[in-house]
Amino acid sequence: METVLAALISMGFLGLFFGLGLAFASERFHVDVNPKVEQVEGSLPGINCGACGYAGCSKYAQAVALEGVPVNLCVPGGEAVAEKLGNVMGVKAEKREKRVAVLMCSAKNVKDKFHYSGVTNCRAAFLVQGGQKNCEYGCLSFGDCVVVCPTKAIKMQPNGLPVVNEDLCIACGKCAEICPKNLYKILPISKYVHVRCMNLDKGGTAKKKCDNPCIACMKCQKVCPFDAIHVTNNLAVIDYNKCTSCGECVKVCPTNIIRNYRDGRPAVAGWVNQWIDMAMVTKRSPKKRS
Amino acid sequence: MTGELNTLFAIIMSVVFVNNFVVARFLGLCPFLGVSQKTESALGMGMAVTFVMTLASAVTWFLYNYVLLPGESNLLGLMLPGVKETGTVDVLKTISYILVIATLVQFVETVMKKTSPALYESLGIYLPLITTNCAVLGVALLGTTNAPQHLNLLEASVQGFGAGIGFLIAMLLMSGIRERLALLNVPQSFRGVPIAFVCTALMALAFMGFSGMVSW
Repeated sequence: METVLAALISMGFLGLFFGLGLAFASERFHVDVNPKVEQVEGSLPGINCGACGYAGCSKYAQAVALEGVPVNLCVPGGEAVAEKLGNVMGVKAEKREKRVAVLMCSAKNVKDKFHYSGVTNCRAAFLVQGGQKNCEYGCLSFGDCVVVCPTKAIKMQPNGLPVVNEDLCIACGKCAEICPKNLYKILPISKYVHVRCMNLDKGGTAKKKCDNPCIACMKCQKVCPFDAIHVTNNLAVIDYNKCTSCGECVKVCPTNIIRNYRDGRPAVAGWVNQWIDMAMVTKRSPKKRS
Repeated sequence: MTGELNTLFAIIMSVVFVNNFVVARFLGLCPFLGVSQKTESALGMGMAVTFVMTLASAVTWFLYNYVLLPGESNLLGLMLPGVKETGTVDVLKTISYILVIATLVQFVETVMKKTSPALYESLGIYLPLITTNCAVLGVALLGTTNAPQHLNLLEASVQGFGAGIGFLIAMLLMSGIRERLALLNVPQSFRGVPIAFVCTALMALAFMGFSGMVSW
């Protein structure tokens, strides 16, 4: 009985003592926190994923409330959270442009160079002399990207090329990571025009392997009004910072690999055409080289 | 005096190498595996644990000797004379130690936030993690009830400090290994925690080489 009493008394006393001590400490050593920080932190998901680039939600909340960092960096929260933070901070949340995965291959009639009968996935096939396809740069058609896609946005077509459903794509980059040929690029959805080939062979060699290669004919480079497309290492590459998706290169590409490939997209608006005309004028006017 | 210094040295060698809390006693494995991804965070966690362990062993020493232990020094004995014979070690040690450690951590965090924001920034996120860390409870128990002989305040505090240093060393070694592991081609099913456990086991085997070096 005395032990029970002693336990009750000592624990009660300790609890009281510590409780009072902590209460005193929190009052005595009180630090004022900007109320906005708490408000912002309350609106964040609180899962501390670090996708915003800060070490946890509270760090990001501090950065938003005190340093004026953009409110739209929270990836899991998406637009809903960005809007909430915008309301707290009194700024309008800028919409982040949606990005999608784009397959940079449009292989057509690519023959096999040997009969591959191993494990049926791209990475395994890639280990055997870079894959069974004749074109060393192109899609291997086993569909690792289809398997790895978390939203089932990628489907394999009968012709052996995967296709990305842009409504479902969340631009997670898993397909780009798993593809042994690095054929996926994660690009803004507003970019219409892509060079859908990665072949670095010379024109003739490339043409023998595939019906749709980039043959490095330079036509696109010449026609581009914005100086956005350049042929390097026998492959046309678009500089997406300059490209306006005007579609001039699409018209001239002889092998049809530069494509305005998203059918059903709205046509380029009128003001863009004016812009193109202006750019063409400046390009044609003689330049002095220093 | 020399004897006393020898004892302190033996205690430090014992808790840092021979009976290292992580790799020999397997206490505190949760923060050991959870926070050892990067050397910086491992260092922060190790420092915070050292700090709390030192304080906790000192405070629990007082609690043990003046509240729990039977005898004339028992403060409860002033009110309840029967406690002087029996003491309350068996029933109260775990719960009162947890209470002390949790309060201590909370108190230190509050004070640190006000007085030294820089230290709070570097230790801040790790401090609450230590509140119920079994290594801290372990050091409190080993300094008082489970000690091989009755320790005085200095010995208990030194043991707490040494245990913290041992934890810090284990954390740093592990974080170095894991930073290298991150770059290696580990089989898919072993990535992350499994390979970390394998490494921990190998480290524990290596630390067994110290056993018998100090008889404490």
